[in-house]
Amino acid sequence: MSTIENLKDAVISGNDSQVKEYAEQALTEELDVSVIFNSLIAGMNHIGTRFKNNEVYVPEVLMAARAMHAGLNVLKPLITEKNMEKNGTVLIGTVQGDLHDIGKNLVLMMVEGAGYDVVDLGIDVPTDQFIMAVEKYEPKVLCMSALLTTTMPAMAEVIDALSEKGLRDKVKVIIGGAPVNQKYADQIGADGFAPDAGRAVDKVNEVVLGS
Amino acid sequence: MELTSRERILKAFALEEPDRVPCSPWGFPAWFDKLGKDYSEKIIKNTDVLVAVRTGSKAETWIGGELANIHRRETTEDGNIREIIETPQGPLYATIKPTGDHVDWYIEHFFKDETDVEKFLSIPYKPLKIPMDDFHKWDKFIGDEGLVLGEISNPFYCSAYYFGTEENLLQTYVNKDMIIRLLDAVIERVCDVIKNASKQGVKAWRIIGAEYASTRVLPPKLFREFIVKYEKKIVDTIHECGGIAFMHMHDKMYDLIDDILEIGPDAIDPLEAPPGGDIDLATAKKRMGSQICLVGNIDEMLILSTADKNEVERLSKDCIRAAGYGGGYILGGTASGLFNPQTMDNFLVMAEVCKKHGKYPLKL
Repeated sequence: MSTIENLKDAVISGNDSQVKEYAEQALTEELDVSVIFNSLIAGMNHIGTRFKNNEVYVPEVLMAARAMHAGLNVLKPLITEKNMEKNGTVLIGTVQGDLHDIGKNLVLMMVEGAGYDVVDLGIDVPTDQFIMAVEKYEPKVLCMSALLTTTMPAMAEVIDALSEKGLRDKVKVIIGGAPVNQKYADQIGADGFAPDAGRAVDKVNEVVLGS
Repeated sequence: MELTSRERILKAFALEEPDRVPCSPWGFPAWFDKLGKDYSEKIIKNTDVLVAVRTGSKAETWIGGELANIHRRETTEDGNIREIIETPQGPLYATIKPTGDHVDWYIEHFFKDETDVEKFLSIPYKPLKIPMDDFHKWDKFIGDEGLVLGEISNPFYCSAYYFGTEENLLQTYVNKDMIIRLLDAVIERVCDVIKNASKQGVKAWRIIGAEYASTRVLPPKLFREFIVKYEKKIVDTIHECGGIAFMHMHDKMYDLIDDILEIGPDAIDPLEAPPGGDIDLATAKKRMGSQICLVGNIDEMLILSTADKNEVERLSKDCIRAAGYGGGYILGGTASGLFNPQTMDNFLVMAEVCKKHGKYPLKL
C-alpha cells in the first residue's frame, strides 16, 4: 500500500503514532502537502460516515480525530492557505449558561473531517463573543449547541444580535442539542437544525455547498 | 377504595393493578427548592411523586471512610471551585465552574490518565458511615403522598464522572483493563452503602448511570461488560436486603432490553421515545412488562415544556393504552430534572388523565 493509503487507514484505525509516522514519511517522499492533508480528511470523513450509519461508536470518532490532529500537527508548519482547498470556516460553540460539550465536540470533529476549518469557541459562550467571532473569522456557518431548555433562548439572542449588527445575511446558522428541534429552529430564524453530529455535517454541506 | 400515592406506586412496582395508573413526576431535593412552595405542594398533592435522595454524596459513596480528612473544596481567585482528594500517592485535582445550578459543572476532571486512577485506588477504603438525615427528612415529609427512594450510582458513573464523559469513552477503548479495575473496586463500596442504608430504612433504590454506556455512544458488548455485570450485582444486593430496585437509564436502549431483563430490576424509567431514545412503549410492555414495571415515557424537554393541554391528554391516554393493562405501569416524564412551569402544569394534566381514564379495570 502507498504511504497515502496507509495514512488514511491509520486515521481510520485511530492510531495517532502511526499517523504521525506516515505523515512524516509522506513529507520525506516529497508528496504535496495538500495530498497528505486530503488523505487525513478522507480518513476522518470515512469514520464520520460510518458513525452516522451506526457502524462505529463515539470512541472510534474520538480516536480518529486525535489521530487526524497528530497528522495535522506534522503538516502545520507547511500549511498555507494556498496549499489546501477548504470548504470554508465554521464557528461552533455551546451557548451561554450551558457547559455541555461532547455533542459540540463530535460535530467539530466531523465537520473538520468534511474539509472545513473549524473554530471552537468552547462552552458557555456569551452572545457578544459569538458576534465578535463572526466579525473576526467571517465564517460561512455558525453552529450553536444547547442541551437544556433553559439555555436554548440564548440561540435566539445570538440570531437577533447578528441581525442588529448587520451580520445575519453573511452567515448561516445551524443549531442542535437535545431540546432543540426543527420547529424551534424555524421559530427563531435559524437556517438549519441537526439532530446529531452525523447529520450536522450534511446540514453544513447543504447550506454551504447546496448539496 | 382509593389508595395512597405510596400504595399505588408500590402496587405498580409489584406488577399489580392499583386503583388507577399512578402519575409520577420524578424529583430530588434541589428540584423542589427550584419549583417553589406553590408548585411543590400542588405536585405532591395531585400526583404520585417519586423522590430520589442520595444516601451520601458521590465522593462519600466512592471513596468511603473518613472523607473529611481527604476531600475538600476551595474557592479559586477566578471564582471557580477547586476540589482536592488527598491520596497516599499524591493529590487529585478537579475544577468546578459555579453556575448557581444544582449540578457540579466540571471544567477539569480528577482523572486525566491511568496514574490518577491508581492514586484513587491507593486510598485505603473502609465502609462509609451513611449520612441518613436527608433521606429520613424527605421520607417523613413526603409520607404516603409519594415514594422516596435512595439514589445510588453504578460504578461506571464513577468512571464517567471522574474522567469526564468524553475521556471516559476513549479510555473504554484504549485502557479497558484499567476501567474494569476501577469498577471492580467501586462496586464493593456501592454495595456496602446499599446494605448499610437498607438497615437504616431505605426500602427502594434508584440506580443511575447506565446511559453512560448506551448504544448511542458504545457498542452493546461494552454495555454488557461495564453495566450488566455491576448493575446486576447492585440489584441482587438490593433484593437481598428486601428492597425494590428501580433502574434509571436515559437514551437508546432498545437493543439492550435482553441485558436489562438479565439485570433484573423491579422498575425502569424513563423509556425515552425518539429522538432522545428509541423506545416504543407498547413494544417495551410486550418485551419487559411481565417482569419490570415501566415508568415514563412522555418527553419533558420537547413535549411537556411546550405542549398544550389537549396534546398532553392525548399522549397520556396513548401511554396508558400502550402499557397500563394488567398493572405494572406508571405514567411519567423523562426525568429531565428541569422545572419549567408549563412542564409542571402538564404533569397536573397527566395526573387528571390518570384519575379520569386510568382507573382499573381500564376502559381506554
